[in-house]
Amino acid sequence: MSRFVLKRAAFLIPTFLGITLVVFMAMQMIPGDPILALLQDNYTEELAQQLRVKLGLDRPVPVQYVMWLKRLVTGDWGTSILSKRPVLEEILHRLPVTLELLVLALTAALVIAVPVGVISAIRPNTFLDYSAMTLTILGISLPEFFLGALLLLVFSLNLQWLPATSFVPISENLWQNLRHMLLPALTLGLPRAALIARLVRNSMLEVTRQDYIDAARAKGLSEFLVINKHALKNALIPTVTVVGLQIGYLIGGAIIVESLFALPGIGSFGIDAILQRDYPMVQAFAIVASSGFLLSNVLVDLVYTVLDPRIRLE
Amino acid sequence: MNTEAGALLEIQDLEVVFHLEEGPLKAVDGAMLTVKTERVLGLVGESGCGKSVTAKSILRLVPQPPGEIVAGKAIFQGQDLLKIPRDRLRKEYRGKQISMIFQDPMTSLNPVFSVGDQLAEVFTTHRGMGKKEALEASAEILERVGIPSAHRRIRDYPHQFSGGMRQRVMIAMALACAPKFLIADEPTTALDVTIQAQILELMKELQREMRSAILLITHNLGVVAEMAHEVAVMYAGQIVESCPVEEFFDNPRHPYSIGLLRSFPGMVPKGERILSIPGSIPDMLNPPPGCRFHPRCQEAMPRCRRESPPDRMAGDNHHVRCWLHV
Repeated sequence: MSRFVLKRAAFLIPTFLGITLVVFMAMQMIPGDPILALLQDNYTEELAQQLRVKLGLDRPVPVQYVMWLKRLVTGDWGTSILSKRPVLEEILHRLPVTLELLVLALTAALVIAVPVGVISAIRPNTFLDYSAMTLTILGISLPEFFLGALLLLVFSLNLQWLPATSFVPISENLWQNLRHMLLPALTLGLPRAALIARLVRNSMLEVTRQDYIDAARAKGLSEFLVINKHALKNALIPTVTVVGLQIGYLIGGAIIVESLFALPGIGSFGIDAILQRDYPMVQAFAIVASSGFLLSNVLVDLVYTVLDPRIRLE
Repeated sequence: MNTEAGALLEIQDLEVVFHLEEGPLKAVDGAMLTVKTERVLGLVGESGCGKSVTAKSILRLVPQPPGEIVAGKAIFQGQDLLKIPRDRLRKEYRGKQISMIFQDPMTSLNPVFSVGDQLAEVFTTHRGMGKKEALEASAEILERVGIPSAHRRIRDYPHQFSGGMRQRVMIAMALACAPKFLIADEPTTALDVTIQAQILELMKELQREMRSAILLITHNLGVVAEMAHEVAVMYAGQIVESCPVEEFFDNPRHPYSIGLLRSFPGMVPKGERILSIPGSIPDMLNPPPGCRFHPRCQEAMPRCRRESPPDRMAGDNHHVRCWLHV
């Protein structure tokens, strides 16, 4: 098991290098000379040359990449053009909000999806099943900006149960924080819940046809154990794959949801950075988002080893 | 041979229908079977004739929907298993008094739980044992069915066992509560020939030791000769002949039974041709009128095409369903 973890973690390094390379190349391809932007009216050929040497821009591109990578891993991520503050500081300041949103959204998705999928599968082609599956189609079809607006309209503006667009940090007041995070988390989580519920239903239907389910019933186990132990654990294996892929969509969706609910996370911040051409910020945003996806997939692989003993011994 | 043994399980007029999109399919149509105490009944027939569905009906394991047991009784020690509440069936019969071994040991063990965990469930469910005690009991029974270093192996998962070893695990699981009755649905079909003999030998040994009765489903007449005391032949959802095993091999009555014996290599004397039964089993969505077997029967008479033959006695303990023997 620990060997598997180490092996899986070792694969992270080349993938991470690939990400940095793509981000670096993208930055290289942006038209315009940064020296020109820096010097503006003070531009002289001599001054420009001095600055180029000072910033290392006279060196070959591969060398520039290595220098940049070195700064990246030592924590020097540059300064934000907009706020004039260190990029890493800005990112670390906002990251917890986004992480909380992602964790809450995924939790909401699973807490809703698994029971719905299981109940649909054990009562297939009944009114309950049809209603649940119709709702999931709706859930998959609604884009976040629409679903979010709808939830805001109903629960904040009409019913006034939950606050609309403000934020309380988790360190200040947990209860208030959760009240503010509930609608964003649902907006992000419900479409995933819909998709995962359909998947759980299908895998459960597949698994409950297997011989070992008959064997479990023949042993005299209660239907509760047969379904929630013997069938569900097997059905979760294909589900986990899709949940892993969905984390990518979650990160993308977080950008929209944070903007919609005015949450101070890195998603809404990333959008601002792109719109204002704050390149060091955009760069950092791209690296953090893709590394997040990378790490979540390692986590998914670890979940596999817990669910499926056949993987553990590879 | 002791023919005085009492009936342990009697299946009467069992009818099982599968409601399919193409229409209702009668998989079992009026099946009658008697399994006697401490005896082995071999249930033979081609694939798809309803053997497994009959066996699964006893423990009500037929998937519902699409399946439905529409009529009949399965009387086990005076109790109709098809009528008692599901919860009682589960707590008192399934895995406790009646157990089942499945055809393919590669698919009948759950791949994501350890063998010990799956075995222990029988003890925690029916014997009220704690987890630790149940694991200890599991190791003991694994040892009994011939799995070396059982105490260590209970932590292993099914994929770490060979096919033969997995079937031993299944047997251990079925016999954990020393059931009075064991349903073995083609227990050796999926195994290598050399392993088949070992598994049959083990089952025979345990059957004697635990004094269980067995309903042994197979299409291998060699297995029947080896294991069974009585034989029932199933064709297209009906039992067409049933009798003691010697009678079956010496004096088969139904043309289908005769055909089965002639087409089984081990039963045909050296130098003689092996004769196959022409045709194949009927489409169960549209079974032929009259006797189900008449389209393939060389002795079919006009009456066979119109009327279904009744179940008649053709000697001591010998039932046959054929117009030739009315």
